[in-house]
Amino acid sequence: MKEKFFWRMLGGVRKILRGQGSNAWTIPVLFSVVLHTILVIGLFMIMPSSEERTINPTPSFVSARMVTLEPEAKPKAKPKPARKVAPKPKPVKAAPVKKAPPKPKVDKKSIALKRRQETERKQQEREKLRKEQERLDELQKQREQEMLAALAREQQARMQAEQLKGDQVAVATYAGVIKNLVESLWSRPASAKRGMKATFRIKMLPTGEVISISMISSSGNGAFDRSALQAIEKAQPFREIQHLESRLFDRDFREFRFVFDPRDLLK
Amino acid sequence: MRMLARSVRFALFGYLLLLVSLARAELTIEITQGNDQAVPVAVVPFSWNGKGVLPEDIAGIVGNDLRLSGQFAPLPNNQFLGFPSKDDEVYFGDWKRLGASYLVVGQVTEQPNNRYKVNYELFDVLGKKSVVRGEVSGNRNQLRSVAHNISDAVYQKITGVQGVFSTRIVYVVAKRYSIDRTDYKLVYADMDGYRAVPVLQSKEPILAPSWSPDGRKLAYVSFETGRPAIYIQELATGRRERISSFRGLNSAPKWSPDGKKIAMVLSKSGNPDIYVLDLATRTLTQVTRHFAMDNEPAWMPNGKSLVFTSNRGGSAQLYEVTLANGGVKRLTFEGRFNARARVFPDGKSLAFIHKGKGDESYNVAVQELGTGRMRILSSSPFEDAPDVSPNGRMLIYSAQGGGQGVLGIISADGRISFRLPSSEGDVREPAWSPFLQ
Repeated sequence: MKEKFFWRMLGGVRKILRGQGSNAWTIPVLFSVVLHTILVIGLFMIMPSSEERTINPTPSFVSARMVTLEPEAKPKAKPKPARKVAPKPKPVKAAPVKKAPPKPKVDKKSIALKRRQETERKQQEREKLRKEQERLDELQKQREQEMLAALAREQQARMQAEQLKGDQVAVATYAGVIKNLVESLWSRPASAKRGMKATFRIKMLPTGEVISISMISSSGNGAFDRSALQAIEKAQPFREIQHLESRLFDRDFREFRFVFDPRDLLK
Repeated sequence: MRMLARSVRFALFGYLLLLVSLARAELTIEITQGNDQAVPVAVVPFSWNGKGVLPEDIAGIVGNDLRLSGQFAPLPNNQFLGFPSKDDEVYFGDWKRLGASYLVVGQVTEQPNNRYKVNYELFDVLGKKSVVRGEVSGNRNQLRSVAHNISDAVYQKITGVQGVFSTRIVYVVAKRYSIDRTDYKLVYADMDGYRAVPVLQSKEPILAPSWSPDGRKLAYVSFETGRPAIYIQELATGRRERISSFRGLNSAPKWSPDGKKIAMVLSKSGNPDIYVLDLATRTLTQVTRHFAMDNEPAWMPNGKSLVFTSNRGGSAQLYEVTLANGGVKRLTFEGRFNARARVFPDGKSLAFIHKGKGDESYNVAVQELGTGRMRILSSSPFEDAPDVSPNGRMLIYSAQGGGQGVLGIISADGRISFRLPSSEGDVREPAWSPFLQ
């Protein structure tokens, strides 16, 4: 039952995507998509949408552990149509067939004929009604399926959003741990000044070991660049990263950047 | 309606695209501050290819120089796992395990005619590569200079700032034999206090030595005639000239940055004021005119104004006077006593002696001119006569230690200070040379 419904729902979505759905569905679907888009845009406002997601706040490591404890706990978002399904179409009550007004009797034959005709007519009418009812049922079903699909999608998006938020906290926490480690070991040379900036791309193993550091942009001061490189070398391996779930490690820490930008210096 | 359906499809596609781009943004970790600990460096004793014993411990001198800068922490060599002297003998892993960020190795080779050739190489232990290598040579008496030369190269490479280990200092030593016999010496030494030689001796006080900007001459005050007069002395030849012996005070000479003038304090008009003497024309210009005592002039690097001490505001404070128009501006406001200023080479900060309200001690302080922010650098009870190294990273000053003056060196950030070894006697009034050729 569940599966059957799921397939039908998929069919409905496919129809819509192919543009074959009845026009009546377009508006609700459009509405739901707009809702989704708003949701996603909202998400982006929370999460900086710029090219580089720069992690600045430094959450404490304590919170990091809290986050780590619930890594895979969140189930993959599944469309859950089953529970709320009840796709039973409400039987549309056929409108009571109006009885023809009694006619004055003419003769038996004609009466019989008329009766026959009447029954035939009634039968035809009933047939027509039944068909109409069927079509209506079908439509109703489709509509409900569509609504459910939209609902499922929305739910999935919401769960994704929640997960994204959780991910963001986890990533920011570990980025903060790494940032603190490097900052505590960065000894700036005497020539370092505010405004100097050096960027490095790091490749890291899940063990926290840095396997490559390449300079993307130099500060223009060799001593400054070298001090930054030394700080990374001294701080690694970032063993703490082993507590981060591998999905997030792969996404954000297998390759990432360091920007050395000493804002606490004078001049 | 078709259009609508299409736009729906488009919107769905865009939504997917957004999710994808979200996933692909590269994580950037910003490192916005540092810890600036002294950099651990291993200076391995240099190998010696020659007869007898090498007269100087080159690596020891280099290590001590780097330590004095306050920016390096040389590792004790009893921890070393090996004593490489060439690049192919270096195992970076060993040095990393010791905690060294940098490694200095070298060899000394005896040459004919009592000369020595010294090869050195600096390695970045963490980056596992050579940073700089070089060769310096000299005779037996120049070995300390050779070592300071290597210190300068290492310092410059790691910090990006010119080193001052080849510069010199002068200071005055007073040795008291009895109530009416004290010997005064003007002493010339390496900045680490070694190789000290007297350039002037007198039974009367010597005060306020000041370097000419080319490092070849000194100006100072001597009481050798029984009253103060200002002299210029050429270091190489010992030739001297008296340039000022007016009635009253002749004190605190300070050479202008272009070397053509000397600022000084004269009281020939009855009250100490700042004057500038043009050395070529011997014309004297009065700079300050005030009934209070004006003292201890110091040139701003652009040569256009002087910083001086005055008690015109009721307590000793620092002021700046512009030579072109005589306009005076007060510079210090904190505390009861701020005096004897020296200007940093960048002209952005002053070093001086500060005594705070309620303080018992006189301490070396540094004030940023732009912000007026002042930091007290050191904390021994009685400090005097700070002077700034030509790279602006260190200060030298005199302090009271064991009842007599000793020289202290402190990093400009105030974090690390040392006492310099000095000969017996009361050591005062250090002056740090400019960069020397």
